[in-house]
Amino acid sequence: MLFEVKNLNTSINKKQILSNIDFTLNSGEICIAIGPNGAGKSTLLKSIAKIIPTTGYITLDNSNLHELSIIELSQTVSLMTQFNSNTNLSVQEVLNLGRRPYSGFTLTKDDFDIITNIIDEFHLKEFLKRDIDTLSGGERQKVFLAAALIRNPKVLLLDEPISHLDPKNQQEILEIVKRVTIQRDIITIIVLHDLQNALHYGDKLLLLKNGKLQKHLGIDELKDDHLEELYDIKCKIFKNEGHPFVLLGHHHSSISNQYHNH
Amino acid sequence: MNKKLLVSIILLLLTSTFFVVSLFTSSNGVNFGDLQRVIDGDERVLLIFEQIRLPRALVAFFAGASLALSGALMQAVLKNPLASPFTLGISQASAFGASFAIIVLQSYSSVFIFSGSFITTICAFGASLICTFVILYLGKSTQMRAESLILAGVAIGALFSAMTMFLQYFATEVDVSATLFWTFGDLSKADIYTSVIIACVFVPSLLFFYQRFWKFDALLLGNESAINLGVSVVRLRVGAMIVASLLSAITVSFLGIIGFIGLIAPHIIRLILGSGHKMLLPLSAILGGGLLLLADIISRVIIIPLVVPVGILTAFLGAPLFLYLLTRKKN
Repeated sequence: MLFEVKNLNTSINKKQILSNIDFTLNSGEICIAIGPNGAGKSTLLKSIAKIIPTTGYITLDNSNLHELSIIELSQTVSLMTQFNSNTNLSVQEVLNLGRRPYSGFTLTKDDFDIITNIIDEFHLKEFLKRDIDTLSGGERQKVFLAAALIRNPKVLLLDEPISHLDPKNQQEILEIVKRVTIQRDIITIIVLHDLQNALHYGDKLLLLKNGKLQKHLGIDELKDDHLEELYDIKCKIFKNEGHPFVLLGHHHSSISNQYHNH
Repeated sequence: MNKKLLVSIILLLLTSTFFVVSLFTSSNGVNFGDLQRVIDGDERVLLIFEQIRLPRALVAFFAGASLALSGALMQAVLKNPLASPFTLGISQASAFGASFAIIVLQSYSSVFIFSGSFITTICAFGASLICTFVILYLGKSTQMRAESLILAGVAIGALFSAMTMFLQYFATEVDVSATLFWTFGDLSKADIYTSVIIACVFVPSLLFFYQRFWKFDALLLGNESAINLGVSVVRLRVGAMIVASLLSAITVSFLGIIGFIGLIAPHIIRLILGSGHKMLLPLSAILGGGLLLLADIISRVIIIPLVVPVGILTAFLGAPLFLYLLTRKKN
C-alpha cells in the first residue's frame, strides 16, 4: 500500500497550523514525526484522521481517504490520542468499542473472535473487568493500542504513545508497534519526543517545525545539522554496533568524545 | 451471578414493589386492605384506583425515568457530573413560562376555553423549548463545546429567574402564590393523559439512544477519540441535548420542578456499575422511576393526612444522598 499526503493545509481558528505538507510512505513502515513543541505534529495526525478540517489530498493506494464516510474512515485510520482520564469504563468496554464502527449495537461472532485474539496477543485477560482509570500507565497504553488495532486499521496513528512511561514500558509498547506494523503490513505514524526511540524504531522521519515539513527522510539519512536546525540546539548522532544514538546539547559533546575514545 | 444482571433484577424488583405500594397509598397512609375491596368489586375503590392512584403511580414512574434519562444524557454529552435536566436553565425557563401564563395571561381565571392548568403547561413547555434553542444557537458559535453550553445554561437560567421575579414584583399576592405553588413539583396534578404523554416521549427516546449507547462510551474517551471511532460528536451532542431538554421540559411543564432525580439516579448507577452507557441509560431510568415512586409514597405518609409536594421531598432526600455519594467517591 502506498500512503500519500499532498499539499496538506490545516488552519484552526483562521490560524495556519500546517502548510503544504507532502510526503509518501509505504506499508510496513514506521514513520516518526519529530519536532519542537508547537510544530504541528499532533495536528498532522488529527488532520489525517479528519478530526480537524483540512485541505489537500490524503490517499491510500490512490483513493482519497477524506472522501470516505466518517464510519469508513474510522475503519481505515485508527488514531490513539493521549489518555483522557476519568472515563470510568472497563477494559472490556474500551476494547469492544473498537468493533462498534463495524457492527454498532450488536457485536458479531467475528467481532468477538478479533477481540479475543487481541486480548490473547496483548495478555490482557486479567485486566478485562478493571476500570481503565485504575491501570498503570503502561497497562493503559497497551489497552489503548489494542483497542486501536482491534479496528483492523490500514493506517495507525499514535500521538505520543510512550510519554509518562518508564523505559521498560516504552520499549514494550514500541516493540509491539514495530511487530504489528510489519505483520499486518500497515502504515504507522508516531509522534515522539524521544529521539533515541525515534532513531531506534523508525524507518522514516518527518521533521516538522513551525507547521512546515522541513525534511522527510530515512533514518540513515539523518544528519546532525538536520536535528540542530530543527531544535536549535547542538546535536550529535553516532553509531554503535549499527545502532544510531543521539546526544543533545553542548555539554554532551565531551561525553560523546569519551564514548568514541572507548 | 453477573453483577450487571443482579443489579438490574434488584432494581426492577424494587421499582415494581414501589409501584404496587404506591397504588395502595393514600393521604391516610399505606392500606393493603384496599386489595380485598378491589377483589370484592367495590366500585368506589375501583374508581379511586383507576382515576387517581394508577395515573399517579404511572406518572411518578415515567416522570422519574424521564428526568433520570435526561440527566444521564446531559451528563454524557456535557461531560460534567453535575449536569442535570436543570443545568441548562430549563426549570427556570419553565417557571417563567408558568408565571407568564398565571400572571399575564391570567390562566387560572375563567377567560380561557381550555383549563387554566393546560395553558400554564403549554407556556411552561414553550419557554423551556425557547431556552433549549437559545442555548443551542449560542453553542453553535463555539462548536458545541461542553463548557460553553453549561455556562450559557447558567446565564440563561439566571435571565429567566430575573424575568420571573420581574413578573412577580408586579403581580397580585394571589397570582404570586399561584406561581410559587406551581413550582413545587407535585404529582397530584397528574392524570392518565399526563402519563401517556410523558411515556410517549420517554419510551422512544430511551430506545433511540440505547441503540447508540456506544457513542456515549466513545465520548468518554474524548472528542477526538469519539470522532475517530466514527461518531458525529456535534450531531450526537445536539440530538441528546434536544431530547434531554424535551424530556425534562415535558415533565416540569406538567408537574412542576422535581429536583435531584436527574442528577442522582445516573450517579448511583455509575457508582455501582461504572460508566458504560449500555447499563447506565436504561438502569438510570428505572432507578429514577423507582426513586420518584418512593418519594411520592413518603410524601403521602410523612405528615398524615397532608400530602407534601414531591419536589420538596426529592430535594430533602436527594441532597444528603448526593453529599454521601460525593464523599464516598472521594474516599
